[in-house]
Amino acid sequence: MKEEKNLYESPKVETMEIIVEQAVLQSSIPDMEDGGDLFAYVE
Amino acid sequence: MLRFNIMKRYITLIAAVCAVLASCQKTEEPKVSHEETNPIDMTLNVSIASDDTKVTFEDVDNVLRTAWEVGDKVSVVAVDAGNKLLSNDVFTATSSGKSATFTGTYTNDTWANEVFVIYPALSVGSGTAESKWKSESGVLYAAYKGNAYFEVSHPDVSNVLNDPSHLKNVAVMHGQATMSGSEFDVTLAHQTYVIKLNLTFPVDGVTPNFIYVRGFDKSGTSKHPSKFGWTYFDDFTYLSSSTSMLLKNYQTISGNTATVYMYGFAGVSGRTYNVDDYFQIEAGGYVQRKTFTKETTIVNGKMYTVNVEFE
Repeated sequence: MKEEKNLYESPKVETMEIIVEQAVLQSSIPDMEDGGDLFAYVE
Repeated sequence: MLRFNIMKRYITLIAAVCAVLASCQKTEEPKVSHEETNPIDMTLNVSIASDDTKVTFEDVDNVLRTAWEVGDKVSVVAVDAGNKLLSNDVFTATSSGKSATFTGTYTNDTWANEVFVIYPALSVGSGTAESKWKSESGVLYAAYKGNAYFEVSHPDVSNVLNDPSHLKNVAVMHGQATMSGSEFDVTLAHQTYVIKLNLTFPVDGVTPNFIYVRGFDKSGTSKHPSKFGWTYFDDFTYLSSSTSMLLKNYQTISGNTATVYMYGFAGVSGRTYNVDDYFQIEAGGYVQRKTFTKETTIVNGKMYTVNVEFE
């Protein structure tokens, strides 16, 4: 006779540690240069 | 081309967690108790970020000095060979200054042709076609996995007198990252230019609720379309906008002078104005034109000064 599976049996899970890889980003940022006075020559 | 970490182990472990969580949702109590069925210990590294600090813009002698602040966020996006978006991960600054360190989790689990960094971060949404990613300010939006491009807008900003700090929400930056071990390196390039408007009114106490700068050719036709358009993740060549800029402002000027900072996208080749093309500046019901007397090209990463004396 086929053995019935116990539907309520808890899954067997080993204790484990999950390590989320933590990537590091090194980011630099430029200044906005002085583009000058657009209409200086007509002032 | 760069090959980036395959994180299948991570995905597998997450799947295991999901399976366990799903099992916990059963309403019936287990008839068989297993001591081996323990909660899963998880180690998560979470950076604590402040919500009230952002990229700073400080106008020093007509140069916008920029710096990162702790808590600033950027997007790290991976694309495939067809430039389609594979992943978008928000990294958070844990240091401040011209160069800063950001930490985050890179989730792409397959081959990435290239990885790019975008500021402001695409931090809102889940990246599906139904819930596309966007920046908090809305300047960048409509990004989702499997698509090669996203949209760029011109969100309203307000209370802008004598203060460039609102640029932190809209000054788009972009760069390609290189990877070394578990670290990315990138130098970002500005994708916007800034018009620094020095306004002088004939009377004190004006409240210029709407401040416009519009570009026209010499025949009076709008120099550029009004739509701010779209861009690829890897290539911002096509990102250029109208010179029609609008700021909302609800502050009354103290005295008769004020400075405001407008922004636009000039594209890779810049925005060229020919002789007799002109800017029309409108604020508080006052209008003035400024006409170009020589060919002038506006490029990203620069701040241009325009002095306006309304009559």
